[in-house]
Formats: sequence, structure tokens, C-alpha cells
Amino acid sequence: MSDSTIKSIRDIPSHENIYPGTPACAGCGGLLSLRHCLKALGENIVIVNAAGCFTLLSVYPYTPFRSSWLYTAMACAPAGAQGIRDALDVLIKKGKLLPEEDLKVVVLTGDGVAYDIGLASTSGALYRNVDFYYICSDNEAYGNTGFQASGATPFASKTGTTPVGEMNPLGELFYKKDLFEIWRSHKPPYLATISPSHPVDLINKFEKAKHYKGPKLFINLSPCPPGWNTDPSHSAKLAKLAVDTGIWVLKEAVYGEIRHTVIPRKFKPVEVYLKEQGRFAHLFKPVRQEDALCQIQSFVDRYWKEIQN
Amino acid sequence: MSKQLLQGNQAIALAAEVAGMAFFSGYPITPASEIINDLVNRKQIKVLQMEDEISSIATVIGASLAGLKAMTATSGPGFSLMQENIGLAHMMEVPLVIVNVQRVGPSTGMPTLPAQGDIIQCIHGSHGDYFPIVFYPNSVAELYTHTITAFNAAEESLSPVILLSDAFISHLYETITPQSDFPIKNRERPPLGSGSRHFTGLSHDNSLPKTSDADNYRKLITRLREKQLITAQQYNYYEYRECRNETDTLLISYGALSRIAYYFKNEFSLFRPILMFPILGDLKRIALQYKKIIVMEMNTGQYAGEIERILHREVTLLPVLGGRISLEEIKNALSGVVTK
Repeated sequence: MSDSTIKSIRDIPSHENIYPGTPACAGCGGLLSLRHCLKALGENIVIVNAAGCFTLLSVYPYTPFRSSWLYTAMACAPAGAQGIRDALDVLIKKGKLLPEEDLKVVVLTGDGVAYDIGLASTSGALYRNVDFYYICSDNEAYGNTGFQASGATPFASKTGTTPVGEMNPLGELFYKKDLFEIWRSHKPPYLATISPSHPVDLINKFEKAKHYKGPKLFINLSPCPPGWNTDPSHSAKLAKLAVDTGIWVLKEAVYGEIRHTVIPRKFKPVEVYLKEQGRFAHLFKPVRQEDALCQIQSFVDRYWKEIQN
Repeated sequence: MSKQLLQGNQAIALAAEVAGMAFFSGYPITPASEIINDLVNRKQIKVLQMEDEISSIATVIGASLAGLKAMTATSGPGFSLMQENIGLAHMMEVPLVIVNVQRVGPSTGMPTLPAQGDIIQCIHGSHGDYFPIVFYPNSVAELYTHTITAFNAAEESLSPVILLSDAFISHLYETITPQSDFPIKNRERPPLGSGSRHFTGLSHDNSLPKTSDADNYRKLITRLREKQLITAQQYNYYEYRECRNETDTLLISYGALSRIAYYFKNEFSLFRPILMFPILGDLKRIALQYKKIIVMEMNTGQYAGEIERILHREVTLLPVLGGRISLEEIKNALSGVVTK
């Protein structure tokens, strides 16, 4: 299984499956990873999308994709994927489609769909063991409609619907849903988190996932310069800081068995990651909100402590 | 209150607070998102962002039954998702307000452009027979006023009231002087929790489900319909401009498109419903004076069909599609239908 594992970014295929010149925002962390995901998946795929930032990518014929593209209603991308998968299987069985011409079915959504409105459809597809890939570009809010909070929004983030002010000095009051664990509870064959700062890890995870039939899910932390209020040229650096501080955990789970693929030797304090972003600026200015910062740090510490045990 | 420069969606948010709305639940969607974005900054209102539009309206139903004035706001795709619960709210007689800022459909359509494609969905979107009250203002000032009207009508009729808007007027900025001395209707029915109460989507008599009693069902539907008519008559808002010059033509339009109709005030008489549904007798009376009726709307004839049905006569349709409101195009189209 390790025959196709790569060791360095030099081993990443040079062939591009997503053309340059997309309408995505400058420094979109989702697009950085998507480029690598599609390198790993190859050309023979059909992308099933539900409303989100990436819906803007493909306005045919101005599409950056070499593959086909299907749009579904917001709540049911995995159900759309099931329809395609089943139809392809029927065609292969009837001899109307050669097995080598088969397509990989790839659901591509944002966190709004993956964490909120589309969760029932995802659960159904996992339950029915549909053979598909799911890539969730998680920028931790509804970026496409003006950065409103989603189930993926982390504690203390400022968004359009969790404004910071007199009434609420913190912004988002709830913790991010643990989508990885929601999915893992269904025991799919393959499940992973990925980051644009770790393309080698990303490619290897896709390579590994290829060996499994059934739902294969990938959650990407997507730095979002307009929403996070960050410098577009810092997206990869920010994504790396998220991993180095232990906030974004790079891991995989095969049939529910978790393995951490990147464990920082020395964890940086979460502050380093938060300070870079306008959405967390209120934690530092005008008054430093020590309690909130401690809460975020201890949440991260607790996770890693539990892992070690 | 002093003069304010407000966006249409902000005017809706401000008016909802004035009307006494204490609970809002919604889901981000273009071109309605500014309503929730504005409301989260208002201290007196509990604002919830839900995981989808089904949950949004379901929480609004719950909050309303528990005694709060409640509202949700969405656009076409979200309005479609709400339909089952809208029927439920009619069956359980739940007062609430649904703002639908229309965009070009079907499906994702043209999310940032105005349309009027949800007219029939307002009255037939859910299954079964039900009789909603629907308002459709055409300016920022009217969005403000009729958000309050919508709340009053909802409380009075104990039913979900729909406030239509479109991407054009909801995103329009105008200077208005928001009044706060409107009569505000408050509910007479006690909230859930006072005594043993049972709200059901089944056909019922008071709280008692009657799932196979045809007579009871007929009585229930008749009562709901009459209640709607009585309430609607008190809010029978429309604008009728008789032409100064002689004309045999009445031009009917509403919402964003009616703003361009004013340009033709010297050629045609103009009628603009603000109360879209139910269609009341005034239009019948006015229509009698005209040989020709033109309905100009941003769909393929949804309101025109309803008007034909009500007036029992043929009307000329002038569809303005694709979100483009061009005076030149409309002029040409009008001269085309007039010379026919």
C-alpha cells in the first residue's frame, strides 16, 4: 500500500487538473488544497457541488476544471453523488460503460453544507456506503454570502452573525462541531483532515484512500483572507500555524481507527495563530481577553493530552 | 425618529423591531442576508442562525407558539424548503412573518438579480388548501411600513404572513423617516404553557384531532379562509393612479417593476397591489372601467393568471425576465402590445 507514497513536494505530480485563473479570492486556502486534491484524483472524475464559494469556480465554459461538474441543491450533494455512482455501476454492469472509463465521484462543498444543511444527506450516504470522495473546504463560516457563522466557526471568531460588541465581546460563543468524529462514528473506510500547508501529507492521504471502496472524506482547513481578515500572501503560513499550534489536527481514520499523521515536535501557543487574524483581533485589542485565550489554549491542550493517554 | 439612509433589508430589520418582534431565526442566503446581519446587532431581539431553512421556520413556529412575535427571512431556494412548515403553521394557526427577497430562479438562477417568480409559490407552495396574506412593497419606506403591517396582519389572523421583496428593492438605499407611532397589534391567544394546549398538523376541532371527519375539515377550511378575508380587508393596500389623459388601458405591476411603471402614467392608468393576496374586490371594480388590462411582471405570468381567474377576462401579459429592468425594452414591449 505504501508503493505510491511520496516523500517530498518534488514528488507531487506536475500535471495540473485545475487550470489557473479562477474567480476564487486571492490566497484562497481551499483552492490551494483543491489543486493538490485534483492532482491526486486524476482527470477521470465528476465533481458534485452544492452552493458555496467553489460554486463560483465553475461557470461553464469558464471552468478551471478538466472534469465534469454537477450542481445539486444545497442540502443533498452526497445524494446527487449516490445517483451518479449507482448509474455508473448500472452502465458498467450492462456493458455500456467500460470499467476503465469509470469516473470517480467527488463531492465538493464548503463547511456550511458539510457541517450544517447537508449533514443528513452525508449521514445517509455513509450509512449506504456509497463509493465516493467528499472534499470539504472548511473556511469556518459561510464565505459566499458574507461570512456568517456556521457549525464550523470556532469559539471567539467574529463573523457576520456573531459580531463583536458591547453585548458580546467574544463573537462566536459555541465551539466548532467535530465533523471528523461525526463522520467517524459512521465508520467509513477512509477519513482524513488535510491542510494546504502539508501537500505531501495530503497527496499521501488520497493515495491511501484510493485503495478503499466506500465513502472517503477529507476536511481541509481553508484560510480565507476576506473572511479571516488576513493577508492573502500568508494563507499557507497561517495553515501551517494552525497545525503547529495543534488547532488543526492532521489525522486519518481507517474504518474508525485514528492515526495522527503530523504531530508537531513542539507546539506553538495558539496565540501566534490567532493574532494574525482580524476575526480574532478583539481578543487582543483594545483589551486582552485572557480568559478566552486560555479557554482556546486549554481546549487544544486537552485534545493532545487525551491523545497521548 | 429622524431621517435615515437605509437599505431595503435594513428597513425590514428596523421595522421588525418596531413591530415588537422578539425572535428571529434564519439562514444566510443572497439577497436576504443583510436582514440577519443587521438583526444580530439589536439587543432586544433573540437572533438564531440555524443549519437550514427548514429549521429556521420550525424554530420561528416554536417561538411564536411560546408567545414571541417571530420572523424569518430568506430567498427563493430557502422559501421552497420552508413550504411544508408553512402549511403546518396555517393548520396550527401560528402567527409569524416570512420575508422572501426574490431572486431569479428556478434553482440558483441569478442570485443577485431581482425577480418575481415566487408569486404562486406564496399561495400554493405547500400541499393542501390554505390562504396566506401576502404583501409586496416597492420602496424602502414601504418595506419599513409593511413589515409592521405584516406583523399586525399575522397577529390578527393568527397565520403566517408573507412579506415579498426582491433583490432590487431590498438592496436599494433610500432616505426614509421611520415612524414609530404605528398601531401595533398584539396577540390575544395565550401562549403555549398556559393550560394544557395541543397544537397539531392534523385536521382538528380546537385541540382535538379529527382525521376522518369530512364535515369538520370543511368547517375548518371555511373558517380559515373567512378569517383571512376579514383580516385582509383591513390591510387592503394598493396604489391606483388614474391617467390624466384618456386611456382604455390599465397597467398592473408590483414590487421593483412598478417603479418603472410610473414612467407611463400619462399613457395608462396604473394599478399596483401592495396586498398581493387575497385579491379583493377593489381591483374588480377598477378593472371594469378599462377595455384592456396589461400585467407587467418579472415572471412568465403568475399574477396575470390569478387576475384572469379573478376577473374572468383575458389580460395581456408583459413578462420582464432575467433580472434586467430596462426602460427602453419595456417601452418597446408596451408599444408592441398596445398596437396589437
